Amino acid sequence: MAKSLHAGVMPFFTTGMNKKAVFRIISYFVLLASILSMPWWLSLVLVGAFLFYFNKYYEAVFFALLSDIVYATPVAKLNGFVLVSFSIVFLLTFLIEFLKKRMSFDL
Amino acid sequence: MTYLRDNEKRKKRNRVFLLLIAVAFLFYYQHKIISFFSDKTALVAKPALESVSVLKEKASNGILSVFLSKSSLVAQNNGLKNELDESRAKLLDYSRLFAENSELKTLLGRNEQDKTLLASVISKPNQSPYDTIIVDVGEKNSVFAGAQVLAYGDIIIGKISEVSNDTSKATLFSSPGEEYEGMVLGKNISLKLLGRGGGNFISEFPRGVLIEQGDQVYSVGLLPHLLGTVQNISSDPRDPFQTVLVRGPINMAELRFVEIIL
Repeated sequence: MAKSLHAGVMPFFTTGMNKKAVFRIISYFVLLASILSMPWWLSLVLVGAFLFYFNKYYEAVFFALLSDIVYATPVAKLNGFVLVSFSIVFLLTFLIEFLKKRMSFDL
Repeated sequence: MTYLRDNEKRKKRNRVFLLLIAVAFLFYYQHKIISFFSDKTALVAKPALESVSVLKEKASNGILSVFLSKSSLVAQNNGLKNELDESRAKLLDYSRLFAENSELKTLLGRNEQDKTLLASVISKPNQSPYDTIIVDVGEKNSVFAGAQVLAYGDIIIGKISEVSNDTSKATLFSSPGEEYEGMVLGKNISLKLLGRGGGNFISEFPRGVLIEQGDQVYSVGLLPHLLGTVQNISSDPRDPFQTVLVRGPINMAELRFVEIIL
């Protein structure tokens, strides 16, 4: 039984690309849980980390929009602007992608 | 080769152009889009936020009880008992004054009472960068945009800014940039409070106006509600104005229930 499980499931996790794809899917749940239960700045830190870790993590923008849909009200200080999280993450996404192209990690 | 490279460039340019158009569209219709989807997501978000709120409360209670020793619990218990006795004594006086106030208003034909609706807080201000709370009552409970929100019965904290069928979003008066009219109790000094976030307000006054630390600030109206107390007054001899910091009396992170004035 254990052997068949190993043969059936493990290659999916051990293949380099699939492993990252699984992590990517897990990251969606982590972000969703963070948006619903954690302080907003923690979600922002997570988004930053995922943007660095995953390639072209544009899903972050969708999660920011979701956060705006759930929580946003017009911000008096920004003349009634609503899409605060979306704008921050949108800029952050392109900034980090830009930085990643100009950085190399030799670990 | 050059043709292929040009083709790639054109494709990239088109993608950027489309993206910019999508973002511009999103920004232009931001209020409509947010309120439309807010209505739809409330159905899913409400049970999720409610369960998260219950889980967080249970977890924090469980973790705290593990780390509290018996002696610290006894000390805390004694402290709370003393505080309770003190509050009871103050409440006796408050009840007498309240009855007297009601009688006077009845005599003058203005005995109006707030009709309030109890609501449970399902999302607290630290969960979003907007300084908002989400409550579990909405349009079907007759909640409307602009309704004022009270905490612990008499402390005014904000107003309802968006209502969906099952939930409502309330913006706190202390949100950055929000302005609210208040009055210093007993001195009849009217002041414009500017929200600074985290339950704090600031206000500016000419230096001649006598305001002291500990003065209570109430909302304006026939039924005034407590907004906060003066925490700090700072002034510069070169400046004809003094800056007053007013702090709300409650910790928003511990808020579980609110009342909405209907």
